[in-house]
Order: sequence, then structure tokens, then C-alpha cells
Amino acid sequence: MTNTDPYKAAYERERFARKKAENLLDEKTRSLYDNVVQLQTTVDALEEAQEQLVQSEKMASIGQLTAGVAHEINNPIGFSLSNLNTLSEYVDSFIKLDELVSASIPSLDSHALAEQYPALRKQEDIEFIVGDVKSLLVDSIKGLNRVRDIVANLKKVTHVGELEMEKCNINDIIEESIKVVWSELKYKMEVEKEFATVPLISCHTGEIHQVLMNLFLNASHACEDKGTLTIKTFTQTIKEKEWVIVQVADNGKGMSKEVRKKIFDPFFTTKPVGVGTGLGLSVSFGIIEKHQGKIKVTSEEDKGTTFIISLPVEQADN
Amino acid sequence: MQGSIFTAFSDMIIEQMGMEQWNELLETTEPESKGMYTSGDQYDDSELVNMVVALSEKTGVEPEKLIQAFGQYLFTSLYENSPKDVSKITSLREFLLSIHSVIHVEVKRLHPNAYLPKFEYEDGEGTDLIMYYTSKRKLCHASVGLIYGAAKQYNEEVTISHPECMHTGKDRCKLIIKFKG
Repeated sequence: MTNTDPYKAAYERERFARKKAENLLDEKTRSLYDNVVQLQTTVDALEEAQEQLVQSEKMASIGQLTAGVAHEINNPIGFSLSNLNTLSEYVDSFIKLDELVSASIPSLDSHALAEQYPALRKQEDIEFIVGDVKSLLVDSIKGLNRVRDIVANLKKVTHVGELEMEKCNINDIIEESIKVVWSELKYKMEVEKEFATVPLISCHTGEIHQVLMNLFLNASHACEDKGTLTIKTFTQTIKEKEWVIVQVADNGKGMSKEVRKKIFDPFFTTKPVGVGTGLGLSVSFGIIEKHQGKIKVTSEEDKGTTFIISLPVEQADN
Repeated sequence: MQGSIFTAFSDMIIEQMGMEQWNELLETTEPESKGMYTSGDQYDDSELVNMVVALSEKTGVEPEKLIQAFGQYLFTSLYENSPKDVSKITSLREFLLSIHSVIHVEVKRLHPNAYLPKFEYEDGEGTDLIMYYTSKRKLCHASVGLIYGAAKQYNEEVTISHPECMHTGKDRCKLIIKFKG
């Protein structure tokens, strides 16, 4: 028998047991936490992969459809435009004819035509027709030209067709693109550039210009009155492949997840009817795919939007 | 406040003053938890504050001194329960600089809802390290104790001065840690 107080001994045992239980709880919590973090990363990666897969699938099927439609529309537009141009020339001839006859009427004296021609002219309102026919034709030709441009853009949504590629420095292209849209940006956007020295990449300068200008203008439209446009370039190695990354970020109004999922769809626009065609980003998507690159977007409402374009330094041969 | 602070406090009182004192303290302050503390739960800050005040009245020792002494005791208790990552740290300075990146990360793993103080750092004269402490709890004296506890753990000798304090109207406390040797 020892002299220790039995309650004290019991207390010590209980205390020890409590400590042990607390330690076990901590260990469990730690490993649970680690598992949760791991799961979350996996879920994030899966969600991203799924979104990209859906996007590519969608673009592939939409692309096929639009390419088909574009091809079908192209033909009738082609001959309509050509016919309208010829028709303009024909109309010119008729007007000349009318001018000649109208000028010669006074010298015809008593000939029946001297009365009939002006009468018919008045009846048919030829004076008005001569004035109107030219603008009708000009408007129609303009309209058809617009349709032709849209169709040409539709073709770019799909990555069919070969491009003439040349080795370019993306930083130079960005500088040039900023210059082109500068008049739109200068009063509204502060432009911050963080360019790293990046390797030259094979690209079609004009097409990449189109993508960048599009993104810069979108960024400016996303900011209410004052905003910051941040453009970064750097290189990144992913799975032993070297990529040039261009990040275009604004601190504008951002977009919801629903909008974000649709932005690359042809004809999807958040701008009022008539302001945007809804083709800008889908064309950009097609162009970047054609360069074997990737375009991704992250956005938070009221915080801003960031577009990330990755272009491979070495393109795989097709 | 996290339960592990309370279990350490009760351990310290029982160890240094005896079970009777601990029971008396609970009877005097009548905490809502009735003194049944476990490390994983959260308890009201006032329970600890009331006990420190009561203890100070009984012993005649200033509350700041008591809190500092408790801070020093608390360090050992927390250090023993910390995960392996923490034991990779080999010096006091390294430990102090990694409070946020290592210690607080570990705390957040276990207790995602825990409120943590903020530390900012500056180089002082010579090898001095200046730490700025900010917390809604204003437990700067516990921090001082914890740093002394940490110094003991790493077998280093330091003196800490506390020229600016949140208790005297400053936005943050300034702690100057002087390393000896």
C-alpha cells in the first residue's frame, strides 16, 4: 500500500487519458485536414479539366456547324456582291441614257416623244429614282460586305486552314496592339506592363494582334470609368514543354460563373444589341487553338478578370 | 479562446499551487464552462481574464506578471503537442520569424476558427529583433512569456523590452528582443 491519495492517483490517470485523447484528436484532425486539402486540389483540377473538355467539345461541334454554314453562305454572298457591283454600273449607264435623252428633248419640237418622255418620267418619278437608286445600291453592298466579314470571322472560330507563321517576339506584338487601341484606352485605363524576356514564338502576327486588341478593349469595357490593365509576359515549363504566357488582367466588374462558361461561345455577348457581335472571344479562342495554345479565364465579380494565354515555344508538327 | 490555453492554465495552477487553489479559483470566478476544459473547444476570453484577476488579488502579483509567467509555461505545453514540422526549427530567431508561416498554419489546420494575433518584424540595433504584436485580445504579456519560453527551449538567452504597448493606447505593441551571446 502506498500513501498516495487514491483520488489524486485517479485524477492523474484521468488527466493522462484526457491528454492522450486530445493528442489523438489533434492527429486525426491533422490527417483529415491534409486529406481535405488534397481532395480539394483534386476537385479543382478535375473541375478545370472538365470545363476545358466541355469547352473544346462545344467549340468543335459549334465550329463544324459554323464552318458549314459559313461555307454555304459564302457562295450566294459572293455572287450577290458581284452582281450588285455590275448592277451599279448598269444603272450608271441607264442614268447616262436618261440624261442624254432629257437634254435632247427641247430639240425634238413636234415629235411625239417630246411630250411622251417627260410625261412618263414624271409618272414614274424618275427624278426621285435617279437620286435614290445609288444609295440603295451602296447600302446593299455595305450590308453584304458586313455579312461577308462576319462569315470570314466565323471561319476563324474553327481552327481550319493553315496560317503563315513567323518567329515573333510577343512583347513587341503587345506593344503594337496597345498602340492601335490606345485612343480607346488612354483616358480610361492605366496600363501596367511587366514583360519578361521571352523566347520567340511561331505565330501569325495579324491574328495574335486581333486577339490582344480584343482583350484590351474588353478590359476597358469592363471598367466603369477608371481602371487598370495589367499585362504580364513570362515563360513557364509545364510537363517539360516550354510555354510563353501572356496575362491580361483588369480590375473591372468581373463576371459570374454562368457568364464565364459562355464567353467563348459564338454570338454570346453581354453588350447591348448592336454594340458587339459576340464573336470577339470565340474568334480569339479559335486563333489561339490554331497556334496550339490555350486561353483561359479567371474572374471574380467586382474584382476583375484575367485572361491567360499560353503559347508553345515549340509547336508540334501537324 | 482555444481550449488548449485553458488546459495549460489549469495544469500550471494545479502543478504550482495545488488542486485546492484551482478549485478555489473556479469557485470565485464561476466560469460558464465550470472549469471543464478540453483542448479542442473554444471558451470565452473572460473566463481566463477573471481567473487572472482573482489570482492577482489573492497573490498580490500584478496581472501582467502572472500572464507573462503563464505565457512561458504555455510555450512548453504547446511545443510538446506541436507536429514534427515545428521541431525542424533550430534557433529562436528562426522560430520567431516563422510564427506566421509555420506555427499559425499548424494552428489553422487544427482549429480553422481560431483567432490569431498578427506579428510584424523589423531589424533592430545589432542583432536585435523587433516584433510588433497586434491582437484584439491584447495579450502582449503572454507573448513576452511565450518568447521567453521559446528561448529556454532553444537554450538561448534573451531580454525583452516592451516600450510601446496596446494597453497604453498604441495601435500595436513593440517588443524588442535582445539576443545575448
